[in-house]
Amino acid sequence: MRLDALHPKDERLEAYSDGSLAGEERASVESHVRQCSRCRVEVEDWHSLFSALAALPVLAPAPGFANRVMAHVSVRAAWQARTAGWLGRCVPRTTGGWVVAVALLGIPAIVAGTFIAWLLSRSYLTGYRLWVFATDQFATGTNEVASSILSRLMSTDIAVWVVTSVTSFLESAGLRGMSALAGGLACLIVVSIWVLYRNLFRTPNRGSTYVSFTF
Amino acid sequence: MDYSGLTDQDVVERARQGREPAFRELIRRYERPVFSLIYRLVRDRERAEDLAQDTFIKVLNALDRYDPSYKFSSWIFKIAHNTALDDLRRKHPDTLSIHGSPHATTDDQIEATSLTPVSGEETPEEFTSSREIGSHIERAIATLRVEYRTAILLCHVEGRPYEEVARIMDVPLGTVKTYIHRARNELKKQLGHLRC
Repeated sequence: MRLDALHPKDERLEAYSDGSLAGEERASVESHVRQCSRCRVEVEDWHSLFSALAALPVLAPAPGFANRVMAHVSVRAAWQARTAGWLGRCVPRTTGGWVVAVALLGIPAIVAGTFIAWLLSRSYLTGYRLWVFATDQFATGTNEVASSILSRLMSTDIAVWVVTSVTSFLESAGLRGMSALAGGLACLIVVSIWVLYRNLFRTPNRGSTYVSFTF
Repeated sequence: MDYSGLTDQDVVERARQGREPAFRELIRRYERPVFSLIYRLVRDRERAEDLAQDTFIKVLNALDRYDPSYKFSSWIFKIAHNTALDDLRRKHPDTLSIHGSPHATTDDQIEATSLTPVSGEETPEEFTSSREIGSHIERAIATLRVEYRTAILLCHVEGRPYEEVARIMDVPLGTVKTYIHRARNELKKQLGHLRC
């Protein structure tokens, strides 16, 4: 058989050149390359390319790069780091850990569920009656707390002044005044959201500055 | 304290404990590889500086979320790659500027924006020759599709194994092999005239 008919495929020559062929396959290609000048040139081409790629220079950013980065990195105090580490250790890292955590949290849920099921199994206690009872208790409790807070707030001098001022403004300003006030407040909210976004969420780039505004 | 003898994982652990020198050690270890990768993806020095800076800010502010069972290098390269890709999607890639920004018009600007190779100890003749071949390869790499470019740079320039390249690029191993095979063939075709 002529040597030409035995040329390894291009992919195999490439794999041989990058060293990813092993064992018999490698030996077979190696033996062919030794005898075949065409394939030898092909392998040399691959080696030249790999060497040239490996020799590409490592590029460096401008001096002071570390300082520019560190200006935007929050290095936490030791106690904060310790707290975060302690909290981090409480979070399971493996599937088994999650199973245990879910099981532990599931026990109170099962107990509570069993208790509710037992309550619902009583003939005198229906789901509807329990719902009415719970919502009634919640509404009464919320109402009492809110009334207590409101009465305390309204008894202060500042609250009296605010209520008087707002009432007199509403009487004198009319619909136009109200619209202007609403527009002004809307603009203020939009500007505030923008400033918060720029300063808290967007990653600052080189040369960009923090945004602030004063009243 | 000298951090140079510690593994990446140990340095990260110290950074998590709030030690600033550990943060600086991570920057020192990765600023050049990360900048080189990003520069060769976006091909503009100023943008590469900004994106490398963004990458480090994201990484160092999120060290608590780093899972030490993965290689730190995979994590930082993955963030660098995603940061560069996001930028490329937003802006059109610029022309190659290994010898200074294409926008530089004066000698001073060219000098200020040219890149600083930091590896290799060569004679002036070797440097001139390798710089010539290097610039051909840089140009050839710049013509590759961005996926091929990332794969070939991570594999051949950074020396990362295929599995790590797949993790960094978030694609299956077979896809990485295809990218690298096609990228190599395109480079070989383009650089055929440089055969010694």
